[in-house]
Amino acid sequence: MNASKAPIKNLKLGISGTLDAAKEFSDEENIQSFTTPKKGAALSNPQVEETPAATSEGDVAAPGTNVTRLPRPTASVKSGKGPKPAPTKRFSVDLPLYVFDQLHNKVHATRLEKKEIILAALRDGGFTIKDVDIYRKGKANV
Amino acid sequence: MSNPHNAKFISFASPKGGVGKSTTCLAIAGALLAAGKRVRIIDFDQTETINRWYGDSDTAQAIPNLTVEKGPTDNLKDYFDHLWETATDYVLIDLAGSLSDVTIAIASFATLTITPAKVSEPDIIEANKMADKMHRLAARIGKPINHVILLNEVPSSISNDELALITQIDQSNLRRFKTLIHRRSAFSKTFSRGTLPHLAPQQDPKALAEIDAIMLEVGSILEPARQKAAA
Ligand SMILES: Nc1ncnc2c1ncn2[C@@H]1O[C@H](COP(=O)(O)OP(=O)(O)OP(=O)(O)O)[C@@H](O)[C@H]1O
Ligand SMILES: [Mg+2]
Repeated sequence: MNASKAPIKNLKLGISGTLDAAKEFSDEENIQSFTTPKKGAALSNPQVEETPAATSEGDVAAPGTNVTRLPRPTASVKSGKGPKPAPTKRFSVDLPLYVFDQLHNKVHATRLEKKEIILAALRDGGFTIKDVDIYRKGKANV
Repeated sequence: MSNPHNAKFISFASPKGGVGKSTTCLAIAGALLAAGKRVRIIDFDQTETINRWYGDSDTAQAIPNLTVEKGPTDNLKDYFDHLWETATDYVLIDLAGSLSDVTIAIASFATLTITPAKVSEPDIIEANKMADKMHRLAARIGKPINHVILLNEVPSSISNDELALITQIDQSNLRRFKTLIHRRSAFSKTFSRGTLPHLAPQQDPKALAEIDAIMLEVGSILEPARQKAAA
């Protein structure tokens, strides 16, 4: 084998070392950071992940999302009658694949969203969750 | 470097927007699904093109063996570490039309990174920039990176200028798929119909043939990686 130009430390980098090296590379090359908020963004606001209450297409199984920081809906936004859903926060969980498959099948069978099925199951498990926070408008409580 | 469950990570990345990353990501997802594979799509584009496509369409959500999720925006290293350790089957990663540290991080471990480009000078220049970064990133991490350009939205009648540009690409050390993806309504309909070319009720045989040919090329890129890992 010819001597390689690659630094010895790079031989057999695992995933962690590879990611570190990639990060160093991005920094050195001044490649923009995906996570660094642009100037003027609410850097110091720790609640950036809070989503407006009205977004209900949330998918609980999905890892964190970047929700464009919409202002919270106010009374001027056409607000339906009745109670409003509470603000939400997105988070990600890893489900065993076979559980995920069951969830997927249930979505198919019930036409409910994953989020609705999961929240309903949590309520069955003793959590306090209001109907308005589980089901989309027009979806029956099943 | 191989991951524990031999998952294949295919990322769709380009410094330029609107080149067909999301479209080709979905077309390839459809071909894999039609071949009986499981596909997980992670949407890292903040415009959430694919995540919305999925969330808004009952048809899309009813596709078996397909899951679509939004990528996170923080703790990315932990996320990628975990993804590497736990992922199975095919993981397709759709990225924003810009070059960011997340593009670089994903390319550093992806089995294959695809950069779609139109046969136009600005697109090829951007694809070339991407290839150059990949080349230097490979040297940094001490392992080869599979980066291939996919000529997309090729018009049905190709001009001499376009032909000359393709010749130029082939004389350079840019690596491209030999198969060209033409401009076809089967591809542009993906988003409005919530279905994928391979799974659409009315299939366009020419579109499918193109994607199938791409899949053969993809297979031959992924295959040696697998053989090496097994050795
Ligand atoms: N082969 C094709 N035939 C017809 N239309 C296409 C084809 N490829 C892409 N398009 C259309 O071009 C537009 C841009 O494609 P797409 O959204 O996939 O690009 P992108 O690279 O993901 O963009 P962005 O950088 O904004 O994420 C879409 O309207 C899509 O329908
Ligand atoms: Mg896109």
